[in-house]
Parts: sequence; C-alpha cells; structure tokens
Amino acid sequence: MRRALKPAFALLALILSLLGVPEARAADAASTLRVHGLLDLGWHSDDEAFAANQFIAGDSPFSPYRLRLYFDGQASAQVQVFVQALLTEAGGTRVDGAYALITPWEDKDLHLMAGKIAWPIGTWAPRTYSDKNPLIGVPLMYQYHTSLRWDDIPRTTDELVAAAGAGAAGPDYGGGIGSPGMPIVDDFGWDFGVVAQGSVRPLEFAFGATQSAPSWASPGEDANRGLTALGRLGYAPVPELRVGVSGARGAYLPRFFGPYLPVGKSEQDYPQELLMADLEVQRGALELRAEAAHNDWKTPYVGTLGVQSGYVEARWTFNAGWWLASRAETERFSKVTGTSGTYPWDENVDRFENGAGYRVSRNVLAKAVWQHTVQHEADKTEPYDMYGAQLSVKF
Amino acid sequence: MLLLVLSASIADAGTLRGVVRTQGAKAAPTSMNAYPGRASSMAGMHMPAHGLASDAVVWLEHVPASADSAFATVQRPRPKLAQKDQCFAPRVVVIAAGGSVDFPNMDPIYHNVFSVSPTKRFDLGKYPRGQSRAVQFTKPGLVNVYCDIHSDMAAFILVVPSHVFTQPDAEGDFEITDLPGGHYTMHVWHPDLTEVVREVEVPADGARDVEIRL
Repeated sequence: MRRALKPAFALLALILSLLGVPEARAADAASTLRVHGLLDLGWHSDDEAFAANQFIAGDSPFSPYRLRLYFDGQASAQVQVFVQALLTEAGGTRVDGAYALITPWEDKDLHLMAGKIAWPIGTWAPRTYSDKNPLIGVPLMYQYHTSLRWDDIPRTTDELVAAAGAGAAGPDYGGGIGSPGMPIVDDFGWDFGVVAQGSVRPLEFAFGATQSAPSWASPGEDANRGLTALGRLGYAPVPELRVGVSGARGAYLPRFFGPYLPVGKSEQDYPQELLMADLEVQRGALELRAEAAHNDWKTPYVGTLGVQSGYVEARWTFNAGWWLASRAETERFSKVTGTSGTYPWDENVDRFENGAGYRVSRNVLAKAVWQHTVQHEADKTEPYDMYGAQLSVKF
Repeated sequence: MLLLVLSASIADAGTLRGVVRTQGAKAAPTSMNAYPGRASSMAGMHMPAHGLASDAVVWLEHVPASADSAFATVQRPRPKLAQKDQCFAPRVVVIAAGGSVDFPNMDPIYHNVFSVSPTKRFDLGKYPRGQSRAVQFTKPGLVNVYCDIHSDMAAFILVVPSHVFTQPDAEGDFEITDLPGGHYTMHVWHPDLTEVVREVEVPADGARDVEIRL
C-alpha cells in the first residue's frame, strides 16, 4: 500500500506539471512569489497551565514568540503553491504546510489541494492563525493531549487508567516516556494528502485522503500503509448561518507495531473514527461559533476508546476596534473497567477562556485573556488559571 | 468628463479644467486564498486595477468662504462605498468634512467594513446583502477602509476641508466650474501615487487648463 501511494503522488505531480507548465508560458499568467508573515509575541503567567496548551513540540500560542512565514507562489493561472514555515522558541523551525492548489475553472469555486495540507475537517484550520483567533488558546479538540499515544500502546485498562492525565507529559506504557498523547485533531501536524474542495452556494464540500489520521499526521512518511478518508459537507442557507458535518476514518498506529498486534491483525484494523459538527452564526457585531466532535480510537488491547469534545465561542466587536471574546469547552472520555473499578480512560477536562482584544492597526492586534482549565481526576478536580497576552503582527 | 455645476449663481465665475495623467493601470497585488471552498467568499474575484486616473481626487484649498458655502449647498447624492463582487466600489470616495458615506452590501455574502485610521475609527460589524450602514466623517484626512472577512478588500475615503472637489473620468479629464476668479491651492491626490500640490490662478471669466502628471 505504501509503495502504491508513491505512484499516486507522482501522478499528481505530473498532473500539476501538465496544468502548470503551459500556463506558465502564457503571457497573461505571470509567475509570482509573495513572502509575508505573522509574528506573535506572547506572555503567560503560569507554566503548569501553559503545559496544557502546548503542542507536541512544546510550543504554544502563549509562547514568547512564534513567527510564521508564508511563501505564496502563483505558478500559472490555475496553479498556486503555498508553503508556510513556523519558527518557535521551543519547537525550532518546521514546515507546517506545503501544498499546491489547482483551480481548474476561474469562475467556479472548485479546487484540488495536494501536498502537506491542513485538515479539511471542522472549521478551525483557517482560524488557527493569531490574526483570525479572537482569543489566544486553541480549542481542546485540536490541541489537548489525551493519554493515548500513537507510538506506544496500553496493554491493559489498568495501565491506561493509571496514565490518565499524563497526556501532555507523555504517558509510559512500557516503551518509555515518549511523545505526548494524541489530540482528537492535531492542529500541530498537518498531513500529506489530496483533497477536492469548493462550494456551490449554499453547499460547501471537501473530500479527500491523507496518509495518516487527524490525531497523528505521521508527517514525513506514510507510516501505516493506508489512507485516511476524510471530508466535510457544509450548508450556508443564508449569509449569517453556516453549518457543517465532518468525518474521518483511518489508521493512526504506525506499522512498526505489526509484530506486537494480535495475531492476524494489522494497524489498519485499528482506525480513528471521527465525526464532527460545526456551526457559525454571524450577525452585526456578534460572531458565534461552535464545534463538536465524537471520536473513537480502536485499540488492540483495551477496546474502543471514545472521547467527545465541543466548544462554543462568541465574539462581540465594538465600534472602535475593541472586542470581547469567550470560549467554553469540554472534553469527556468514555469509561473503561479495570481491576479497581470503572473510570473514564482519561481525565475529563473543561476549559474557559475569556478575553479582550484591540485592533491597533490593520495588521496589529493585541489580546489579553484569562484561561481557566479544570482537570477532573478520579477523586478531585485540579484547576489551573492562567493569564496570557499576545501581540499579533502581520507583515 | 465630470462636471461640478453650481445651482447658485456666482458672479465672475471661472473654470478649472485639466487632465490627470498616470503611468497607467497596474494589476492589483493579490493575496492568495490558502483556504478556498467557503460559501463566505465568491469565486473568480478580481481586485480593481491600481494607478487608474479615475481614482485621483482633485480638490481646492483657499476657496473663499462664500464660494465654499455655495458649493456646500449643491445637492449631491450621498456618497456610497458599496461592497460589490467582493470589492469596494468605487475604490475612492471623496467627501467634505462633516459629510457621511453609505456602505451598502450588494453581494450575496457577508461583509464587514472597518477602519483604524486616525481620521476615523469604526467597525460596522457584519451585515448581509440589502443592508447598509452610514458613517459621518467630521475630521479631514484619509480613511483606509477594509473588510475583516475578505482581507484583499480595500478602499479609501478622502475627507477634505473644502467643498470644492471632483474626480477625473476614465481618461483623466476633470472640470470644476463656477469658481470665483482668484488664487487657489490645488491638491491632486491618488491612493497609489504621490500627491501633487500646485498653486493655480483661475480667471474671473474663462477657463484655466492644467495638466497633472502623477
């Protein structure tokens, strides 16, 4: 399967070149390259709460600095190329996305996206940037590390329950402390894939395939010999309302687990199955957004691990460029039964983030937030409070 | 050719006419949409070209108060800065300080209109087709106008301290009639080009021709 994937991408590259080269020679399709960026300067008051906001590389929207550089190229009238790199204090430099966007018909909203692409599910990807996020933090479903790892698997429910709450640090299931656990959809890691997306008002659509699953993108190589099918169908009957459903199904375990799986099973037998819904209402000064996710990870030894997550976010903009924003969210885990009882397989978590922002100029935003996170341990709750600020400069 | 005609009669009326020449139209720099496929945007949109002579504004300073008042009484339709085909149209609006501008949304999608210019800060929120908002501009200066949803959309409102102004036609021709003869300071402003300020003498009877190269 993995070898079969490479000719598929080679074929895609050929299509890209066939579409791109003749047009690049056309007089009316001058090639262009545009470099621009987004610099975030951040501050946070509490390191423990900060840890609950970190991505897998240790960076976070609350990090002291994050610099995104975008390289946008117009290869031809129909082909655009996007590359974005992210430089952070903790995470070093990484290429977040690199993809070609083919638009066969100029007057139709239909596009083929191929490369290292943003997840075409849910509605967060276009809002992940500090100049689009009215707050600072990332919703739990896109960032919060559960205690299930992609590179180490629990053998028993007792082992799993014992690791509850250790997702950010990296739970140890016998393979040693490694990477943090998987979020439902990893906003940190985009995957290689192909997606067709567009809109025929009032419908929006995005359907495609990626190498690995939304919870573990396996960036760099196809680690599990299979594709994840994923997509979103949206409906915008009036300009102020937009709703959508998204889904994804594909293997998340890498194939090096093969020898450790039950006899006759492969990593393809243990997929991530994700169903999401989204809502957006905009009216006057008010923007209201909500997303919900129902996710199952099939596991080799502890059955299906479910998690449900959702958030509601509101923003109210005032006339002089000020705004207030608030996000309330929760993540709830299914229960498993071990030798000592029945418990959620990970610690349930709630988070509230409230803040204010000010548009200093067209390209400069200032934000300040208060974030309150509560982790529900088996016998107590653990609250974390954090104040944060961010200056977002687009250039 | 644009004509600015006074209903009030002014004795010894002269005319200032001329042509504004630019380097020619240039395609607007476009920022690419990395996340297409949303019903909140329109497909195949093109930004208006830059450098058009018709985007220039010609206005006069040091106009006698009586003449300026006479120009102020001329009935003009309230300026509109529409959101149409995912662009602001027209790209440039000129008004006298104290005037108002309407911002109608003529697209089947939502738009937002905001400005953070020191001359006037405002944010009109998001509103659909068929609705409009109005803003009064009391302070002279430049107001850069944007849409929060579609970052390519940009327009300019030039608020001038005079009621004597006009914009050239597509060929760059302009004419201001019914001016009292005398000495004026002529400003020719353009959003993409350097402003030209020139002293001009308008005859009491007859026309003064000028050519402005931006």
